[in-house]
Amino acid sequence: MPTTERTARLKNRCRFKHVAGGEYVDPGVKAGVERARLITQAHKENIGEPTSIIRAKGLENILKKITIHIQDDELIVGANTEHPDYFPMYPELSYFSTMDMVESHYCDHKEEMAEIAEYWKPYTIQRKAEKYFTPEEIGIMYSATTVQPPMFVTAFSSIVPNYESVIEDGLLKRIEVVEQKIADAEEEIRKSPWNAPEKLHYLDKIDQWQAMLIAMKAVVGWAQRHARLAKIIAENFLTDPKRKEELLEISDICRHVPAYPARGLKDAMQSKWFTFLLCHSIERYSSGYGHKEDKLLWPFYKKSVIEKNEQPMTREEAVELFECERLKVSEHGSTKGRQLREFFAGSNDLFILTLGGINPDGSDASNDCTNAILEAAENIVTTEPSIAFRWNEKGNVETKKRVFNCIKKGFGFPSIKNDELNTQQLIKYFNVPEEIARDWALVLCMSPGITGRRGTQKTRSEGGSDVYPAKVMEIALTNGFDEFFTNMQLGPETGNAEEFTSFDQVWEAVKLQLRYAIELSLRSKDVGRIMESRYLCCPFISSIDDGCVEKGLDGNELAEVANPWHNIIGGSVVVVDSMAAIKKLVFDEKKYSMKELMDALRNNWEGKEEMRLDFWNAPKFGNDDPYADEIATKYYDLIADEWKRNTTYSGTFPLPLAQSVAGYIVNGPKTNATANGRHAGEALDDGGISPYMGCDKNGPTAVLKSVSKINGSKHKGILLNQRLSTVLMNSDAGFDLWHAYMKTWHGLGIDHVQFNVISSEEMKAAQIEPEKHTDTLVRIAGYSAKFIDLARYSQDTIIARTEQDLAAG
Amino acid sequence: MATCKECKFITPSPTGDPSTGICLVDRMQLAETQKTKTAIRGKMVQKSMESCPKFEAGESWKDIKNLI
Ligand code: SF4
Repeated sequence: MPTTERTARLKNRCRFKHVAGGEYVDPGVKAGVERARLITQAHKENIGEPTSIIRAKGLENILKKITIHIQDDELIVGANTEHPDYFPMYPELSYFSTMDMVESHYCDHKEEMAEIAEYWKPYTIQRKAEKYFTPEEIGIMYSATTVQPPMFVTAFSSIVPNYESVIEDGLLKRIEVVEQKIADAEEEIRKSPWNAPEKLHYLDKIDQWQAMLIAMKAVVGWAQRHARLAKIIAENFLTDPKRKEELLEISDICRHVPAYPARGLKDAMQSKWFTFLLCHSIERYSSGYGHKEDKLLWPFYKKSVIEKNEQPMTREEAVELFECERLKVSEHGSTKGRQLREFFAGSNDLFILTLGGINPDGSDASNDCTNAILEAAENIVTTEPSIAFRWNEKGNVETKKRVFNCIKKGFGFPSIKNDELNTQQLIKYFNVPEEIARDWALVLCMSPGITGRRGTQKTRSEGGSDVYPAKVMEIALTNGFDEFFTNMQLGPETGNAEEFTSFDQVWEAVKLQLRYAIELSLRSKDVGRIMESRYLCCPFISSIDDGCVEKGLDGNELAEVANPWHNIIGGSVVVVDSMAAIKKLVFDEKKYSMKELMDALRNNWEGKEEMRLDFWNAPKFGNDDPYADEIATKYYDLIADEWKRNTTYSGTFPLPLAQSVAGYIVNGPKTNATANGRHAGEALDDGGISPYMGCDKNGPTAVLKSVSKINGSKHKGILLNQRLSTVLMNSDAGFDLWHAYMKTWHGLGIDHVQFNVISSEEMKAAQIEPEKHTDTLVRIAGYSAKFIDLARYSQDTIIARTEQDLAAG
Repeated sequence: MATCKECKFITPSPTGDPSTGICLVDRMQLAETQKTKTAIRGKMVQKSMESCPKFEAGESWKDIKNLI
């Protein structure tokens, strides 16, 4: 139940922007045209200026002229579009994505938007980057079969904004710092004697700093517009004295932040929200809600809620504010190409915040602010933002109980990450100092990155993008040619499996196909990165990073702290189980030949049910079975080693991150029958290391034991989905049983786990009478969704997951 | 003559490329051993292609049951 009548009303009228089957569920959702119109206008007026200045003037024009609005009951104000029903468009990113939107029923301004799309076509990063690839490579990438299409066509990105510098400094102070940098540079270039190699670099830097100034001043002006609007509404349109007072306070807050440092919790929340809108949605589109919220807000929570000396408020008011935040996020419309809307079936975007863990000094970081955020999530019941909880041995039991309460209610979050393992990874692979590493948050669903004033991730070209392993294995058996879905050569010619005479040959073919997919995908990210830094400068995002300000560099260009990762999405366990079955039945026992297997796969096991059952019943991962687990260990080591061969833009190798989002659903129909006994078009495995649906038969501890054999420290993350019994979780012993399970999980050094706590009966009932189950949430993978917003095919994959009995061990 | 583009079984292209899509019409019920119920054989189609005999006019987004 929402904590107050206000949040109940806000929830009731919230314009949720989640998608189902690739489309927005709410029929009122539309594409807003103002951002696209305003950035185009500024581009035309400033063409010829340095890119950073053009981009800054584009942002300035948007912030000066975009329609702003404040809705009834809101305590946090500001939006990314001219209307609460809308999402913005980004014609400067991808021509395809824009045209796709123009052709869709979301766009009411078809003629104008088509004109805008055509204007931008040569300037888009899509067109700039495409020329560095052959038509064949473009065909492979755009088919989304072995690799995700590159961000220069999907327009997808992710970022962790430097919230700390805005909240702690305020923008006016940062403006002064940048002005001083320009003054110092001007002085330097005039010093005698003239020395070109030492001075000429200042020219670009002066442009970058000038762009930062334009952007920051525009942001302050935009916040002042909100201050004025709140005051106008309060003084002219309201009779309710309480709301009038609230709006005058909102006006005061927007006048104060982000121009000045936040005073108390209300300022900090508003400043954070403005910064989120700018970095994730107005300057450019970036997915995510990556920040360590409890740590960031704790000083202000203390001042307002505990000590009550700045913007004093009760604890209940703080919880209400966090509920308002959850509803703002739910209403926030993000623009994704259709491929990505399908990939996040049931969700709006990958909004995920991080809580828990430890402080830089090693003490428990969970505090009453953590508890209030969890309480708000428990009360308001929205799928977004999702929460990741850093499970540390030092974490207090009270907070862990609140984590349990959310999980027990079936939210699917918090998902749990191993704090010690993830901190060590940042130290070991990316040379992050320990105190900074201890402040990590998830950048998107699964990948840790640093937070703070400098060096946070600015673009998905640093970490992100996907390889799809089940399809890679499929073409490894067919000489790199996709006979099933595209009829294209998707990889190198590594031989036809009919001719393979040893298991090593199968392994080698998979390795080489994987290598090709990885390298193509990495190259596309780095080409995209160069195009971003040349043509997609983000002066505001750069202005709030201490490193970018110090060095006069754009955030896309500067890679101060490397954080490269690469997703291996849905299908890893299909590969492992298929390999195990081939090894056992073809090469160990010689019951079938490779030719027989390939015939059966090509014919989707038709007329070969007995043979399919042999492959289906071969050793499967997730049962603590050494035969399958040995192959799994080898496979996860292989992918880590294959990525390790490469060096990316930021100067080091990426770590793989095995997970699935809804890729296990979307990629099922693109993948032919597989040797684990799966049919063509059947879903893939639903995590990064979750046993295949229905194949884990030896209980939850056996799953953990299988997973613990994988060396998780070589990976950025490995997603494990588990489904637990509702009866048990809701029993008196629920917390103790779950806590004991979590201790085993932690003791085994496993990276991640997340839970669905919902019975098959409830899900089946929701399929029959969806209108009675509007608040039934489920965990897909990396995010949660309303069960009724999933298509039947997707719903069935959740029902199909094995319900584990914690009491059985 | 109708084209694939008007068919309700088509879902969006993987890149947002307005000229391609994925046909999801071909479905099969799975054996009892499988925990999921349906398999969908996807097929890449050009939206300029003429429709096949299974064509059903409509827009996929309007009927979530047809989606994945
Ligand atoms: S017309 Fe036929 S091939 Fe084309 S989308 Fe419809 S069912 Fe598929």
